[in-house]
Amino acid sequence: MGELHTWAGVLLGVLLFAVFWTGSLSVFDKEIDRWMMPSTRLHWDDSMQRPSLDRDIRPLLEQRAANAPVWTIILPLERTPFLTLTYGSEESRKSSRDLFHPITLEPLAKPLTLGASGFIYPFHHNLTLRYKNIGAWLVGIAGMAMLCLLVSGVVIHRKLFSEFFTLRLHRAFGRSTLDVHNVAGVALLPFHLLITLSGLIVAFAIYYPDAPQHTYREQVQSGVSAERAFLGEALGRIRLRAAKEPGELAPLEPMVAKAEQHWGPGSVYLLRVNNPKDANGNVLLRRTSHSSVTKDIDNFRFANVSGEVMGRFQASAMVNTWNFIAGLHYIQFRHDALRWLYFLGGLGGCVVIATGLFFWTQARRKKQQRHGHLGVSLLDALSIAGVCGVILATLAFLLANRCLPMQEQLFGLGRARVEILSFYALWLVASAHAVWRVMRDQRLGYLHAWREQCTAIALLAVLAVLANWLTTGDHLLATLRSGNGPVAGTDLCLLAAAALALLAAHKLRRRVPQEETLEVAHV
Amino acid sequence: MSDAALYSLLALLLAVLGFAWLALALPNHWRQVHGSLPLTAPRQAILRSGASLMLGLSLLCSLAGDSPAMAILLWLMLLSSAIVVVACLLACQPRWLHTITLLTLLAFAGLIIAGVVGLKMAG
Repeated sequence: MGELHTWAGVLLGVLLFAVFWTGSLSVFDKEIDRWMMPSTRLHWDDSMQRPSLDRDIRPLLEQRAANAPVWTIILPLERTPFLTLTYGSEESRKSSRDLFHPITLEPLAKPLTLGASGFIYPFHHNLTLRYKNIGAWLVGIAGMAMLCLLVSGVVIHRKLFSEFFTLRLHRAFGRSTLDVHNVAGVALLPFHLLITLSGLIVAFAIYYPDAPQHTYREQVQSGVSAERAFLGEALGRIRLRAAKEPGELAPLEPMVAKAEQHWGPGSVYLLRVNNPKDANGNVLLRRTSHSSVTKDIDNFRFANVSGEVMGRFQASAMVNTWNFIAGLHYIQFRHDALRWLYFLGGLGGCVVIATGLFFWTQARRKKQQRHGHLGVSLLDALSIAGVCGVILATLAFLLANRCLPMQEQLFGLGRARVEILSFYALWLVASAHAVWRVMRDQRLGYLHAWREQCTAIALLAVLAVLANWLTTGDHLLATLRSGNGPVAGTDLCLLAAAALALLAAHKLRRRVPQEETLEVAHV
Repeated sequence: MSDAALYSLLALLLAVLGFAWLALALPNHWRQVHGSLPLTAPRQAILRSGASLMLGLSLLCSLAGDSPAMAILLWLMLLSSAIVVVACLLACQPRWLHTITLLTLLAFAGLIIAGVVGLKMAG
């Protein structure tokens, strides 16, 4: 069990850290989006009057995408306080998206960024390596490793109960690192088991791609693809073929009213019009699931021309079990306290992983005091690049978002791409710095590298807060006073991160002379 | 403050108290707080049953504030937070645990007396 814990931790710890880090941030992805997209820093709550679909929104669609095969309308919600319209084009499924003020319906300035929900969240589940799902598979392997680590960790923690609450922060460095690892690991065990297992179950379709082939044999024989049969029956996603004859779209408001008779007032948040101008089209309505853990995927479908109900999809008990697990993982329901606890629990996971890596390299270093320790040094560099590196990269992403000029194209690339490039560029620089520091001084270089990168984290975090102030005028006092939670929260978290990083750097600075005297004593 | 938030706070408080008592029922932590005072079997039994009672009450509080699925999820997360809080208290201010225990006992005694008096008055 000890070996399993060591090997799974050493091989996949860095990857796991990146997944936990981006996952924790994804809990607040929509709030970080508001920070990164100043034009969307608006306010919306349920008591406000929704814009009229037929009178206000339909003209916008006609004017912008009269011939699009698909229109999607996403109504304003508390965490996404604007109207979103997306339109497919004839050539590609990839659609363009426009945002509008929820009350005046003025078009909002294009965000020119993917934001946290468009980059940090995808990074969390596929590392943005989409080719053949390589990234998702790596994350899946890391998830399995996390399960192994959790179970083996409990087994090897011999004094689990007698030292349940033991946290000797003032004792030797190694001792306190291990205590933090143990206490955080044990305290957060239920959450980490839940989040890792649900994360794996959510993505079952990637890890068992052939499952529908076996379940839907009959449909496959009658010429329907297994994936289509599965998507239709289990998830209510049915594809329509255009009749290629013109048709006129019926009013949308009555459809919403009919659906809300069943779902409750104000529950429809998404309308998708397939083939709006064709005789064979439909309008699909989805509902919010604010008040339940289960992610609601039920839908109503109306014929586009007659406006009659074509069908109502209600997920089966089995699928809803899966939706419950997915809801546990995605935490999109309305519960601020739980969202904060998830965020802190995820960061706790980062602490467990980072202290585990740090403790392991420290213990190795002590054992191999007399020999050269190239392997340990390289692992140190890897840990530094994996822990501080990804945090620095995230800060570079935020800072680039606020500092790059608001132009669609920069250096021949889209602005959103340049932000992502800054993320990877700073990660690369941080890795190079870690390797350089560790190789130049194999005895104490690692301490300098940790310390310098912690200082850099503090610096960049403060700069990000300043950049937000300078580019938008929304400084912390203003956002706190006006109750702009997402922006104030992001700024406060950045400042807290800076303070913690400075504290860590300070502790590491005190550590260097101690280490030196220790080394002398050993010689 | 909304009722739900109040119930969540109460649930957190009870979870911290519960784990504080549970920590004191462990010989190592008892020694940390009380030094040479022996942890006798009755003391340990009282601490343990008091801890279970408070953790149970904490669950009831979170159930009162939310729908069952969310309440249980919240309770699990509050338990984790409470463990971390108690561990930090033990690391930095172990004597506080003693004070907390006494205050909890007083609060419970007060509640019971208030309950009895209330019943008598009603009767």
